[in-house]
Amino acid sequence: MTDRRSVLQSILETAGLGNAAFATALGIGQQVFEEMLAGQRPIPDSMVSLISAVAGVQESALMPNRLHTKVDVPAIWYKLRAAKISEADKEYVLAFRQLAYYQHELEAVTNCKATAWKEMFVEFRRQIDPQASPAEQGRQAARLFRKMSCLDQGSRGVGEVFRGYLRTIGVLVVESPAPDSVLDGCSFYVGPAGAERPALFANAYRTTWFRRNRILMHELAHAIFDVESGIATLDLSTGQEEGIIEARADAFAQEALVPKEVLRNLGQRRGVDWTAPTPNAIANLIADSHVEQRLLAAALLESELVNAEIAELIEGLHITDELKEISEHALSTKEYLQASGIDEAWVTSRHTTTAPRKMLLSMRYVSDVLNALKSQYISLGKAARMLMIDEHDFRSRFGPEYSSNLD
Amino acid sequence: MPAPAFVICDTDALLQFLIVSDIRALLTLRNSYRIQPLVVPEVEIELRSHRRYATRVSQELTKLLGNGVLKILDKAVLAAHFGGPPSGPLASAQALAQIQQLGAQLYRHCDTGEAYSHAAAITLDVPAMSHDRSALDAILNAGLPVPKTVLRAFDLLSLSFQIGYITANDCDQIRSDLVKEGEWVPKSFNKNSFVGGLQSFCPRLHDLKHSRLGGAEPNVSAYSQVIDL
Repeated sequence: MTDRRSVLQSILETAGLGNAAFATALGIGQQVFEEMLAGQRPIPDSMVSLISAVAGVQESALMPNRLHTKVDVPAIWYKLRAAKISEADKEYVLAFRQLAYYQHELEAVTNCKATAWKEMFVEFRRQIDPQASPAEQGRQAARLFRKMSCLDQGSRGVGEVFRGYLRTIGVLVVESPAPDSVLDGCSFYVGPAGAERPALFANAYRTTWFRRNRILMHELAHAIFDVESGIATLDLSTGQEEGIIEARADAFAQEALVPKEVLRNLGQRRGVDWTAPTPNAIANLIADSHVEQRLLAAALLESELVNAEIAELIEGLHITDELKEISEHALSTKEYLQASGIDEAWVTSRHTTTAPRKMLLSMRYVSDVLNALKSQYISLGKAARMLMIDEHDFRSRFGPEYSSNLD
Repeated sequence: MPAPAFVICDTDALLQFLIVSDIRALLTLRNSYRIQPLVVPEVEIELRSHRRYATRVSQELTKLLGNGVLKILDKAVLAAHFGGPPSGPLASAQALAQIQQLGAQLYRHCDTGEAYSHAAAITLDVPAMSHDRSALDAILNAGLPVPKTVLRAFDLLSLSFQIGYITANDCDQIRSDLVKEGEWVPKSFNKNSFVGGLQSFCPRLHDLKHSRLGGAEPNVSAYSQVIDL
């Protein structure tokens, strides 16, 4: 017979997770958590759903009086152990799982459950040619994605809109600086059992917005094709992953972001001479297409708009300053805040303080939580919990507008 | 409302007595009226996990729980309340199951401590002590029940002052310590002394044997029923 304690102990041991991080993900102090693990205090029923979502175990495994011969540790924890990633990376995974739980709660209480991703993913897998090459499969799925999401209209860059679209269909998109992580990006399922959703992560530390567009699309491809069977995909910043699934994900990202018709259209609009593109022309193309220089060069070559020599030239051009002149996406956060006159609180008010690792939440999620509080769907304490900060932080960040005391 | 057997204390309100290290208002309930202050297990966990105050209040909390000034709401406490076997344990188990069920419903809208505190207060038909109006607004907005009386820490202070258990000076010290800590105090006490603030405060606990303090509740809400002891 197992109990909640032994389920937690097995997960901690298998994943190589520390007590402090897990306690934080559950929103409790380390000492309290260790007392629970030591059997010195019971784990209340009220914690079961959160434990289930964060640990990835079925709630039934945490119910009392269940007879189990052994603890079934969720596959994600074996995968993370096998991947030999750092302690910090595992803690980020815990934090994403915590966020996914709150996102699920927010959708439930506001009756805005987003599950369209499920049908779409099935459709992508059904419609692609199973005998085609991995790259062709990626391109086919990307075309379907652009069509079904209406991102193919207008023949222009989709970097500014695809995150919002993914969130609308229920995909958890996390784009946050993780300085101590070896991950460029990763994708896996999160959320309570029976209400799983794909989560895509792009490490925003020392990466440009243009690069993250590619990372997120690459992870989306993994979420569509690989996560169900492979449990999780982890793309490390230290090396180039190779193989079938990476080739498919790369092709998907390229075709989803810069298909030939978009490149041709943008080139025509800017009057680009493909035989001798100037740095300014390339900077404008990057700004318009929303992809990094390297991907642009590869896409132009593959679309046969330029030859290999020109593609190499494009990839080697120094255009950072030109790009900063014409696209705010090329600016660092600090530069952006300075240029636009926006207060730093615009960023700092979205940082978590009670997650195992500090994360930057999306503006949309923060605004959805605040709206739920304003509309009296949730209490201030719940809003703070969903934003992964404490009530004190909540009051200092969002001010007296949300005063909630009993006068 | 007749004198209740318990007051269910939520984290934010109970924390105030622990921060100022003055638990006499809790003793007033227990010693003068046989009203037992209780916390649900979730609140005890929240207090011991509090990022700002856990280290500061944990020892005092252990002491309070050790000497029974405060108790954790569990089967034993309820069994003693409902009487001996066979009906006591049965009623106790039933009440705990109801608290869990209602708590889970309220938890959709509130944080854990407040959800299960209100669920316990509603199930046992006793007052809760909690400061978060947004939780009550969210519960009411969802068409769920709230406790008939939700007390503030200052209701216990004013009762203790009314019966002469805590002096005006001591109450004012508590008030000013809380303000210094950046803790919420009712509007009327924010810029007034304790006695000054009482003029426009509407206590929800009164001792009928002593002269009434404060004013009348200007906005009667679903959770502002006054308790005469």
